[in-house]
Amino acid sequence: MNRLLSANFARLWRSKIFYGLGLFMIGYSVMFYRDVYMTIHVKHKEYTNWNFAFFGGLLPIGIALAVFVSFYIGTEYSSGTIRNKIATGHSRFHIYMANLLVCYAAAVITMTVYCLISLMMGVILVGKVAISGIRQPGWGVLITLAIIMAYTAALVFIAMIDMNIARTGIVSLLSAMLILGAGMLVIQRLEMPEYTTRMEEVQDEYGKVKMVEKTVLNSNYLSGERRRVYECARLLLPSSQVVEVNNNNAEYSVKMPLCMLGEAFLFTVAGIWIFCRRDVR
Amino acid sequence: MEYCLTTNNLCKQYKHDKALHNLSMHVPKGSIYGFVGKNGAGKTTLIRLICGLQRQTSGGYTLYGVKDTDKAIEKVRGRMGAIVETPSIYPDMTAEENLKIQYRILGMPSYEGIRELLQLVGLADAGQKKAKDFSLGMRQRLGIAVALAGSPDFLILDEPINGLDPQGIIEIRELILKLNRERQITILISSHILDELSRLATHYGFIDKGRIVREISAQELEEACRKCVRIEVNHAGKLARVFHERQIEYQMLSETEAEIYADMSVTKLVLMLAEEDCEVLSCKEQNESLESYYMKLVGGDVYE
Repeated sequence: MNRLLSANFARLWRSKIFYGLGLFMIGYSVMFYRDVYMTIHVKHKEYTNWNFAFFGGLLPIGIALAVFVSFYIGTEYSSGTIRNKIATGHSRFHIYMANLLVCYAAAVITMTVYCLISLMMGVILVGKVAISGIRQPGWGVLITLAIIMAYTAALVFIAMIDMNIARTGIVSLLSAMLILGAGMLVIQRLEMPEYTTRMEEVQDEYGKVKMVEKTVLNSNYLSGERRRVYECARLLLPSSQVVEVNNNNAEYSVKMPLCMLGEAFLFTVAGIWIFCRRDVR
Repeated sequence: MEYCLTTNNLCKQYKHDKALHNLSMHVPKGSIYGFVGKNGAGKTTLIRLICGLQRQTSGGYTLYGVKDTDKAIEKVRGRMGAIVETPSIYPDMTAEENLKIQYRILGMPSYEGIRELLQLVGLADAGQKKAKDFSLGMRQRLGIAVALAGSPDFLILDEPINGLDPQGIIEIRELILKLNRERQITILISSHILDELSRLATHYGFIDKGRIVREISAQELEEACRKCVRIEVNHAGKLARVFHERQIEYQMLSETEAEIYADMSVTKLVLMLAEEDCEVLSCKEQNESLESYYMKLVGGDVYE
């Protein structure tokens, strides 16, 4: 597999899509810190969510990776080079794993670049290392690595089992967008308060009508079985974990990276199983 | 005879379509094996099986004596270079970069030999031009260069001259002959362009509807093909009388043309007819071609 990794990395360093991915993340970081700068120095407001400032790059990483992985692996099929690897005696398991590892490395490199740029931008624009506000930064990094692994494994799975580069691109992009949307929705629903306030018209003893704020049960609040399903989705969706990492008050648990790694493992096992059995044209 | 590749009752079924049906073939070491068949006869399917891209439904094959079920088959495939359908090249890389990637895939310790390979296939001057900007012929030659990286003993070329211009066809033909003669590389070349194949192959395998109809060496094929002389005269009646009297096998083609199936000198033939006052207007030796042999064997239209 070393030979395949060496060839794949050599290709990665020449890949325009890879550099495009890096530039996109740098651009995202610059735009993000511009907003932070405007909030603090122009609008003179307080900025508190430093977790979001530092790990905000995780939000679009799924979509960016969908583009990169579908192109990087799809090219292997469209150019016929994957046939060449099989015909020269490389096992399908090794081919799959080499592609997965290189895509993961590309994602980690991109995220590292984003974080370094974020640190730099924090110092330049905000005047301090923006990571200082993060609670449990070790957990944040660990979960970030696990989230990237889950995203990469899912996208590599799609790209390796479908030989059509255009279809892979569309399916990957749509999946990444759906996952992101679903993750945000799940967190939004879970964070709904149990009680909410409502303005009600009340008549006083003189028969005069006046508006009174009343605390009532929130009809959108999830409880019972439905809440358990959403809690489960929060752990299983990488995008909802992304929102969690971005949240200053998030409580990290060992379940979060474990779920992501478990998902990555399942996608990889299923992908290898299908790829090893399918006909390559 | 030592064989580089033998297949034994290979079958491949795609859902309801049987692509290969008990196919057995033998590719001798050092040969240029012309794999002849119509479109859809099963040529590419067989190549895909041998390259490990697909799995057979039943039957098996051996590559350099190693069975396909043996774990060592993947290692043996390292002795093989192949172009299946289209050349396996990265379009956004130059010829040299493509070869460097292939050297890494093969685990070659250095990039030594890349210049020679490019020279061999006539791409030494391709420079920084990306493969996506190459002509079809250049891409095909780069594909061959990629397949030749790692000095394989066995080269599989699937329709290597499809879509090439006459110059490109000649260049690929010269290259294949050079590789076989100078490097002793066994070459399996599939094609339905029979005229071209007849200039290259030392052995033939005719495939039809997923079966090998016949395997024959070029020498045997030459012997099997009847030679004849096509002659044009001014008086067919006189010609017929002369041949009839001397019991020479012939066939009249028109009022002035005939084919003679006898091994005789042209001088003798002309003098014989001149004696009867029959003037010879033209005379041409004709060989039964690979194409007509193939047509007799499998019938149908060669260029479907």
